[in-house]
Amino acid sequence: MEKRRDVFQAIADPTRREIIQLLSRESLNFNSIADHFDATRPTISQHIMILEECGLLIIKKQGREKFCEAKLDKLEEVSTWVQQYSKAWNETIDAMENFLKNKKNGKQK
Amino acid sequence: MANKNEEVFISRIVDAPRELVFQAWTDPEELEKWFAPKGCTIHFSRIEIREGGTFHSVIKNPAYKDCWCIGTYLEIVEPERIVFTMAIADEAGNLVTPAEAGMDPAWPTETTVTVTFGAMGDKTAFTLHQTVNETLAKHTGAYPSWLEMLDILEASLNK
Repeated sequence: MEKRRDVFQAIADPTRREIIQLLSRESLNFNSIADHFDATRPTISQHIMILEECGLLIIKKQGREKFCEAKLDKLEEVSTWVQQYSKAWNETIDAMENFLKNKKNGKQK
Repeated sequence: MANKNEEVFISRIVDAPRELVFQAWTDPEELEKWFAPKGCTIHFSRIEIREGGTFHSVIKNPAYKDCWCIGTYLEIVEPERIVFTMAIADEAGNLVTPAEAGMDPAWPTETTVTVTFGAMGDKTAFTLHQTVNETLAKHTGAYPSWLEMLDILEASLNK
């Protein structure tokens, strides 16, 4: 089966969500991330790799250390989706209110 | 700023009794007069407003392609509540997959909309709530993780 590598896959796992949450506050190296979890380091590394493949974080080398930095643009796609729908619905409900107002005024005349 | 629950949620006091607001949502002729965003018009090529009934609509805007949509009425409780699904479709009424619409294959194009009408004398306490379709949410396994992630995004943007 082809591996899914998209924002949905990235955030489908609770550990990965927690990693993103940690990184949204500050960039961290692999060890600091692993320290937050009971899981083994290879497991956490695996999650970090998946997040990188999904485009949710980038890994930067600083000397001998590897730092992870969150890339939240992908999540903004989700936010944009919500905002677009909200805007369209608000305009639609404006139209409903106008319709009801005109109907009411029409009756009074 | 967006609602805490980050799905689409609209709440308004509408200056009309709820029977009239409910009618505006359940009379196809009335719906065609207003049920579209600004600058758009809507036409139903099929609409059966009853529980289990379906619709096929097109929203037209001079600046964009026609936007076809299909859906099913899940609940109609007069005069207080309507629940229906919405999904992107083509002119023939076939579901259009997100990939065909040029979106991420996991993108939620199917949504459930709940509208409620609360009695407030000669006014109506109106709410509209749109969520990702539950079946689809289970399929992608990524919801409500979405909402959680949006909170994180919002917090990081506000810091």
